[in-house]
Amino acid sequence: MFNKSDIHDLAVFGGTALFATPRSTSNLVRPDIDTFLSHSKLILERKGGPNECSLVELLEQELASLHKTSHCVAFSNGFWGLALAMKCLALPGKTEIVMPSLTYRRMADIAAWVKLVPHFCEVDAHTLGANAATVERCINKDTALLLAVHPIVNCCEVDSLADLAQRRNLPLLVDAVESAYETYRGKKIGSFGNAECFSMHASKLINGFEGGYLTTNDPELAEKLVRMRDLGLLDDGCPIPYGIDATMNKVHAAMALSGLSDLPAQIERNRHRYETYRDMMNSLPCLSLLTFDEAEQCSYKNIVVRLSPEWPLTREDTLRVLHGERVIARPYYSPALHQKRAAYPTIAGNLSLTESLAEQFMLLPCGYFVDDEDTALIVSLLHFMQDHADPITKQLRQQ
Amino acid sequence: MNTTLPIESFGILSGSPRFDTVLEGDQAYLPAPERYESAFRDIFTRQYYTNQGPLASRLEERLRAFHGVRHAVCVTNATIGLIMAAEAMGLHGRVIVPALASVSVLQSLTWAGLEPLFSDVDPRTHQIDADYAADLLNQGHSDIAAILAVNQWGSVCDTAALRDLAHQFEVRLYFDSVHAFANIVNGAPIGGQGDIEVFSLHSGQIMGGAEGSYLCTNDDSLAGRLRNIRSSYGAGIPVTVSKTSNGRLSEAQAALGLMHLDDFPRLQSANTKLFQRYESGLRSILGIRLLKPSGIDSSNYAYLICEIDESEFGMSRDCLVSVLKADNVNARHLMSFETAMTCPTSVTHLPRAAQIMRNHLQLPLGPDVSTQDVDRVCTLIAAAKIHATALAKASS
Repeated sequence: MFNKSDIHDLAVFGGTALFATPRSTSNLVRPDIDTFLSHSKLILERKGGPNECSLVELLEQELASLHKTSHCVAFSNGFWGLALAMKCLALPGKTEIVMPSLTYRRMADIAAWVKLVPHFCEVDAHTLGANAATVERCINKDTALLLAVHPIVNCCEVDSLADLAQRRNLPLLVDAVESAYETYRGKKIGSFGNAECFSMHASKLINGFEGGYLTTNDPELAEKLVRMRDLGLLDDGCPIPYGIDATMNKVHAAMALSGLSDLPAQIERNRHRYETYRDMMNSLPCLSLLTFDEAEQCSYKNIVVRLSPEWPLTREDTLRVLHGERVIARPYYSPALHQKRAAYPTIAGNLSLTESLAEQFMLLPCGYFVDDEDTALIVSLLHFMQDHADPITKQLRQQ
Repeated sequence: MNTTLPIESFGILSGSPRFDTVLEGDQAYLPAPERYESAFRDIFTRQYYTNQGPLASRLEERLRAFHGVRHAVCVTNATIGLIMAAEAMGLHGRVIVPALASVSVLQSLTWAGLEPLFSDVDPRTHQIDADYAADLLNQGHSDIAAILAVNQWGSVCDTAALRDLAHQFEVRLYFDSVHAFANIVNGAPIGGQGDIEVFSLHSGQIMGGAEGSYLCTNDDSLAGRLRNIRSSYGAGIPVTVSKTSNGRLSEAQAALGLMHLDDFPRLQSANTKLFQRYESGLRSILGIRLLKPSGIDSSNYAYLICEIDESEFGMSRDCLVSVLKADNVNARHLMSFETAMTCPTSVTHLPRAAQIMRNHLQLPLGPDVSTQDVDRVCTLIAAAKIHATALAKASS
């Protein structure tokens, strides 16, 4: 029940929060417990001898099949999966990795771990991802690797990026964490570039507690990644530098497998939630929902809105009020990576579009915890904020 | 003890192993299925899966109290824990490590931009030789940033000597204590020996938690940095770090760690019994010497390491391993696939460690091994000695 009639009913001004527990932008899908326990039997009965397929391998096979690739390698988490992929793909003797600045907040740190210098590129205002033109401007004699990152809704122009990589003879790694279920021009995400990386953190499409994976059609790369993931040991026992333990444990694999079984049902739930938001937000033209491209296969997972100049509150104030109500909305990749201080070298030219875009969007709650009633409450709250914007702003300034 | 097994009964000759299934004998522990189910039903009800959840926090608190240290920081695995430790201390340059350090240790240094400087080990204890480390420090290498000591195989290093060295040369001292959970020194579990101690929650180690790990420290500032490097969740007070990582321990890992911790006293007691059984079973066999944990009041007794004196025993370590394997006893070289010593360049410089790698083996010991199994393995070894010449021929 919406409980605000006066701005003092807002939690930020001392009222009762709209939600007793937080509504976040994390997916947090709960798979079927019995499916999970059934997969776990293989762990508890200590099955998986040398000739048996382990749960992790089973998961890798299912994910390769989902993405229509020949290979999948699972990792303890997406962070170290990306780091190893960068290490394996970077051209020897070269130092720079071209990546968008409007992206995951730890992306530059990942490059720093593998001693690559992030060279930040501009993005496309339409897709919010890098495109061939913005990436090509950053290619130089030191370029070791191109990193494309799919935006939070829909995909970047990954086919033209792959063409560019081919034309310039450079490897292309794709971070597809937010596009795990999507297609681009009808082709399943997972097989673009040299490899694509995904996360199975609980907040992502597939909840593996923690975890990540990489898909590729390159058997040599897959083999190398497995070796690097398993401490980098060669057959004679000598280690390849930068091997690491980034194996996925079996319990996380059991969880991810359970999530995969639930995936078609999840997509239906996501679609329903997205359509509910879309229909209700029609009445809030100053907050425009980023729509999924329904000509493609979509996950319908993330709810992102653009705050138009007519929206009467600043984004900072908007988020402050929402957080008070336990609506844990998030700014979209803000600040951009080049705007943050780094303890390692980075390269950035003029990224004014990125800087502008980093101010314009926010993610609204989504995922397993958000039902129709929640969506209605969140939209009512946004209406209330719009209608009482001036007194809210004034009151916030007085605090 | 029956030492008269006929030679033709050995698996290596008969093709029929004495044990029906392989006696693996690592520390692999799993909780009873009903406890596992109950713990995971709780997680599914709570719907808190990761990001320093209630179970991860509870595990940290229990481990902190267990070790009597100011901080226990849980992480996803020990290799990443070692990397985070080096990063948190802001090390640059070279790090002294024992020759028997695992590949995890070496790889952690690579990721942290550091170079290993190998110290040989004490041939009696297999631990880092503090005198050798002192020589390295005395040679005037100005770029030595730390000593990374390894508490190997249920033993503990000469911590006092290492601490003095670290103090004298103003270098950091940290420990790989993956093999040393619950080792007692001066009446208390170790954990606060150096700047940081890294323990394992790997399912193959004495204390498990789905391949996790944790770091102990008494240094508030290092703990703060470790928590901020691990990820922003559960970071406590934000601290500026040069780069972050992802080293979170999930609620699933924490649940298994908590169950293992509950069962640990029983498991340790079983290990101790098996260790003692091996000790008495092997005592009278010439040419095989069991490595007793050193530097401790009591050990976790999770590792059964033996030295084979080929001239006394009559066959080489490698022959004995082959003979035992043919009878489904998973005797192993000392994690030879996991040590720096497998790289030929190291061997010439580090003769004592190289010798240990050549003539030692590890025998099965763990929750799946019974005292009867130990008796059978000891009988097998005793008989192998009697038939050494013929078996050595067969194994070649």
